[in-house]
Amino acid sequence: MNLSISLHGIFPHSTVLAKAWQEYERGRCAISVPLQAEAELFQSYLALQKELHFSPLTSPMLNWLDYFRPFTEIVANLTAGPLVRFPRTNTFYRAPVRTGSLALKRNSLNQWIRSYVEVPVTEPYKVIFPSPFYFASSIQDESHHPLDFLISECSYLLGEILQALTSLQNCVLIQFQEPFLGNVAANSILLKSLQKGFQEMAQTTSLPIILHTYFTPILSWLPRLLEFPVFGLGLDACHQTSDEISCIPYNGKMRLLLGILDVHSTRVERLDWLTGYLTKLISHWKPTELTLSVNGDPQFLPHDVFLKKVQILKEVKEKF
Amino acid sequence: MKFLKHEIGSLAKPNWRVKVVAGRLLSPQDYEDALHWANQLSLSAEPLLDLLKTAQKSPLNAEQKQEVIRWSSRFAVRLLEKAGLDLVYDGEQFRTEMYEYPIRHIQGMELTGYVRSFEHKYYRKGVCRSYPELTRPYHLKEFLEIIQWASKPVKIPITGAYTLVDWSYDEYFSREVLPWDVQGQKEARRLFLTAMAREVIRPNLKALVEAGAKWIQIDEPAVTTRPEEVPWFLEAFHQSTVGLNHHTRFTVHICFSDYRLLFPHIGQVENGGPYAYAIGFANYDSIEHGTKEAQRPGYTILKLFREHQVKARIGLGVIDIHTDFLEPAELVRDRILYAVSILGDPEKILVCTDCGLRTRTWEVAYEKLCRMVEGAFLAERLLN
Repeated sequence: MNLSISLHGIFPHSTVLAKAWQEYERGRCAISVPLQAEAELFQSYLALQKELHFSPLTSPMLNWLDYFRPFTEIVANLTAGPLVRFPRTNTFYRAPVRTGSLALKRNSLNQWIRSYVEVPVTEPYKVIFPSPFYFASSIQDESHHPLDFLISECSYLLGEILQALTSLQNCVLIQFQEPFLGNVAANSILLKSLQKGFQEMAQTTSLPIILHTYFTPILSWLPRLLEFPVFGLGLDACHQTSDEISCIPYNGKMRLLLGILDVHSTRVERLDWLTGYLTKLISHWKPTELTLSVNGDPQFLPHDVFLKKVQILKEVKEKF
Repeated sequence: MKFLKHEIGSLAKPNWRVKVVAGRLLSPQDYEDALHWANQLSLSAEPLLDLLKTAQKSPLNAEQKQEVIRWSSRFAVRLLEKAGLDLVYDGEQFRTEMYEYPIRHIQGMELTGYVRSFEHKYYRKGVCRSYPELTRPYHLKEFLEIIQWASKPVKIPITGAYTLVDWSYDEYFSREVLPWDVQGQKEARRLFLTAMAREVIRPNLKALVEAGAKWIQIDEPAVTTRPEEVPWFLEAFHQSTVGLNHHTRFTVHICFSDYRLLFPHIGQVENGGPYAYAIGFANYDSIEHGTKEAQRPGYTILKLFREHQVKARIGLGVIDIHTDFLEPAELVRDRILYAVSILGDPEKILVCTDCGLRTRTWEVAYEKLCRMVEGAFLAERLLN
């Protein structure tokens, strides 16, 4: 079995960065101060990933105000709307408001990719986007289209962006984040729309695609998800036991991404707990490719706690 | 009948108060601002003005800083009284904010680093490292100060147990629970909540009640974060207040939430529940005048309160705290009249702002409150 470790999502803003933004918002410093702090933290996160041998690397997404805001800059008829609570947290995002048919602003695409997607490294890296289901479920549509329509529209849009990413040097993987599948009332029709969306997106890029599910149990959908036309599937170990996952037949074809560190808890996971979980899962599923990671966005943790937690991934990897 | 009118809790802190506490020198404009409000509120504030003169030249010492905070509290109380409210507080001039301040006073809780709330807004999250216990009642001192200069009845806000738990991490109650043991995690969270209600909030409330508090508002903005836990919030409310409500009215404030998630639970409380739920509605409403349903979209949720026969009164948010728009008194009147038409009984309604006005200037806050009072009066006139 090939075991790797990798991170994903929006990373924590350090105390220095948070204070710099606070000072800026109070009019006590220039914008260059928080931007400089952000750039320094960005580099330190890349250095951390390299030091701990995370592969592929990932952008810490420090300039993403939430998962949808960057898209409001590049998609016509999509604006940032009211604040909405991210489920089960005290963190909010602005709902993307759809005022008409969504269309990519191609003229600004290259600049947008440089600002939000490209990672200036020579090592392989992956790009993180919201999954079409997450995206569509978050949209407030002024025309009140059904969710399956929005899933299809978001898939098309994301597919167009993926097409433009093929020219990125060192970008080796696209990972779609999906925290809503267990929260929103998903059903068979919606899942079919999502599956179709992934089929279409896969045709726009030669890069492998991972669909990562987190913050909810998705056991009831797992057999269907294992049929998706994706290179890999991510599961949240903090919402389903290894026994529960092992009950689902697994064909061994997909790469498995396991979110084994809980970003909703400051408690640093014990090594014996993690190895126990993995031993069971590996003995049942026998995956050929397994990546260990955090379950969701590290931004739900304070910076210093996150730094402590990620060390343990390296230790777990060494155990296997 | 007469509507009881109140503000929810916070007001902006005057620049002169912020700068003095931060050890920064005041500008002449800061001094003029204090003078303007002293005149506006008919307060003889010479001792404050003397201090502020000094603060233009050199930072004040700790004792002087406290005195300036007391004055800002006195100004805020007077502002609410002059606007015509029936229940007042001091706009939380003694506090920094509603979460970090209590966490600092709870043994067993420690503050960790910053976590993003949204965009570039952050808060420091607390973590529970041992059994939580109150070091000392943390709102008592300010309450005893405020009642000295308040001439109207005082309503003191306090952050509730559910919100303190929901916004914190737990490393104590869940210390032996495996990360993927969902049931074990839930049980640990419930123990954490019970401890917070019994060992932290209840002693705070008890101290306030013993000191003479007649109105206490428990702020619970997190209540709908986990819909399945709404009954836990009610349980925590009960644990916090049981036996203390003979002479004191406990209200609950919830804002900017999906209020549908409160049902059916809050309708199932028989006795000992909150006296009122103070809830923000204006933020979701149109600014068109009128008492028809189409004109009052923000208030249609009240039907659920009626359908579920909620016994508590409604603190009807009629002022949007997010904008400088000055609600005409007639708009406030129409919002109240529409609410009365849904709930059927004007006695079930208290009139308030959606939330605290701390993001508005004092000029805007004062004007909004005056219009709220006038709007309530217009509604009373029609109903009587």
